[in-house]
Amino acid sequence: MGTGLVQYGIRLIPDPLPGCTDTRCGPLLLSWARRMYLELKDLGKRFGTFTALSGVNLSIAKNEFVSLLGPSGSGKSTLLRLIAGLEQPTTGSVWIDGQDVTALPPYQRGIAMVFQDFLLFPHMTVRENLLFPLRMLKLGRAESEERIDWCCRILSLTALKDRFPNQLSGGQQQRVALGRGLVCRPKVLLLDEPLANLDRELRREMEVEIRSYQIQLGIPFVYVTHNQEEALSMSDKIAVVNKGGIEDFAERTEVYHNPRTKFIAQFVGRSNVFSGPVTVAPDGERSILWHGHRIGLGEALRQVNGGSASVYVKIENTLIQPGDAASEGRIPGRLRDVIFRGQYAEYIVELGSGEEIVASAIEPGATIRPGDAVLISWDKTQIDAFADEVAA
Amino acid sequence: MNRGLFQRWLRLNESQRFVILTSPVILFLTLFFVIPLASILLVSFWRTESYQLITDWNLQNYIDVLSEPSYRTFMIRSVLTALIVSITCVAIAWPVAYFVIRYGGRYKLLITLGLAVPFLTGIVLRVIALQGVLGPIGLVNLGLMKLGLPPIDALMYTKTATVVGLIYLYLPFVTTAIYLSLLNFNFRLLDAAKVFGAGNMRAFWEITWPLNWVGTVIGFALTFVPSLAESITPRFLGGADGTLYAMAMGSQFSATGTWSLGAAMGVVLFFVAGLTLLTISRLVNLKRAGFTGAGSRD
Repeated sequence: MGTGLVQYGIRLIPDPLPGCTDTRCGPLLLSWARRMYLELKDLGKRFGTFTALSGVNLSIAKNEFVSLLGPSGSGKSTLLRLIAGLEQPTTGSVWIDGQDVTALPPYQRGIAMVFQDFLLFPHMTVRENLLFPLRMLKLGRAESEERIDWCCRILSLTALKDRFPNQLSGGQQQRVALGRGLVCRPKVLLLDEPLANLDRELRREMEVEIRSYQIQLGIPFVYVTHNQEEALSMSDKIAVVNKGGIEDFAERTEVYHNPRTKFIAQFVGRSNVFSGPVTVAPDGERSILWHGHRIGLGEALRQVNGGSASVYVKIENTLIQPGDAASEGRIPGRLRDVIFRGQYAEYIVELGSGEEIVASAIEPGATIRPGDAVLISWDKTQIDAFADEVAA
Repeated sequence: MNRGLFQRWLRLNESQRFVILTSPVILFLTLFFVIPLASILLVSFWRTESYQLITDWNLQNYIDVLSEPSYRTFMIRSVLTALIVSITCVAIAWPVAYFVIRYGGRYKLLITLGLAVPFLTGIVLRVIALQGVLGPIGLVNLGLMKLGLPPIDALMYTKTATVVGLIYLYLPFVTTAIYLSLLNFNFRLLDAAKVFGAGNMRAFWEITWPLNWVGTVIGFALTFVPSLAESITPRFLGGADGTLYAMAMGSQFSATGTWSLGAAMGVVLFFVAGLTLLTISRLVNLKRAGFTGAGSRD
């Protein structure tokens, strides 16, 4: 599957700058590539009295793979439909390649979309489905055939060309849907949870492939998903969408390791959460009190000196060791269960107060068994802390 | 339920169950459909003389039906009428069904049931009511004359009046057929079509129309076949020169008493209708209809 891409990949990227062929254009080319390609300015959408989205600002460079990550109902699909032009925004504008496309219908925006339920045309064969966007572009016969051949080759669809969608498996339909998105060489490819209906193994495979097509095509992919693993494994940047707004838009590692809001800390990765009143010791050290345990805040939440706060510790940063000598920063508990996950194991620890803490470790530790007394600890620099909102 | 009987049912094999389950229908259809039809076929090869059936095998009835110019005129007129009626019905029903589906919201079903309101009265009453609207002193023409305008002659006991009447009668069937078809249509496919370059009209002709073609054809056939055999509406609305084939056929059984000729006319009508259905079915490619079960998966 890869050879076809290498062979055709270069041709796929449109001529960047007229006459720019020698290497001295490198920096210029780079700046051209970094130019904001898809921009959303103060985008908002209301359905009747319900505000689906408000004040969305997003700038996506060419070559960027961006995921819109959020729970269902957060407005991420609406956002995608606004970019596609399938919905009209109530406020704001959509810019593609320096052009305001807000007033343009979908078919004049130069976008393509891959839908969650594929939405292949059931009365057309695979070939006809791929031909559809090309017919709409009024492309010549030779050019169309060439593109379809290319598409079938990179997606291994050649043998399935004359089948109807209902004669294909889910994975095959997915590939046709992707092919229909790629064949028209869009300026932006929008993907609406395209892998949600596939099984785990196929999903992994497609993640890698989708990412490689994006690199080869050199166009922005905007990928909507509620699956953080997908978002983390494929994207350059992640926009976390919640309650109709963007919580954060940053590099994927940034989103994962330094969540900017409480919502992100909760939604991305798996964390143990400790909430309690903030106390300040005479020596100035601040901590929260959680079920009788003092949980140090370290450098986090410098400005908070009262009220209550929540501390998030990712389960892979939560350390577990045998022993029952409780001390500062070590919470005693009893190992209740070990869930073996293959590459790592999850240790479920029950505290005296009945609370549960989950720790994950790569070592399937044979030394601790369910029922053993254990101590939980973590590196104080690897916590995320957020002040709790004061209930009005 | 009787336990022993149920046990015995479980012991039966597939084909035995099939016979038991279908026997009431087969019995009914044999008694009231196959036998009458066969007897019509039989009678069509006999002869009638002064209100008497004579078992004298011959083809004269068919020769009469096919050679007599007036019968040919009636048949052509009937086919044309049925064609105009069913095409017009499809043209009217499409937007109606489409808007009910798209904008009917939770009243969809109620609106659809509303289409059946005219059926609450009998066909004769409905046609007579229509006579009251279209006739010389009917609502339309009386209204026009009250306003000092000339009446519309085309509506008074003419072929046009028959067509209008038939459209009125069969519209609910076509609308329901197209409605049901659209009910199963995934309108999100239009999003895909629009994203991939189709405008509204293009999306309709590329996606909506072919995927609802079967429903449309069913609606068409549901109108065409009965309109072809319609005799009540033209009798009330059609006037003197609006005689249709089925009216002529009906009179063989009543006025003239030439049953065997009538039977032959019936057989001819049966074949014309059957041929039409066959032609229509050739227009449908189930693989292209978008039905999910149409292709084999391997």
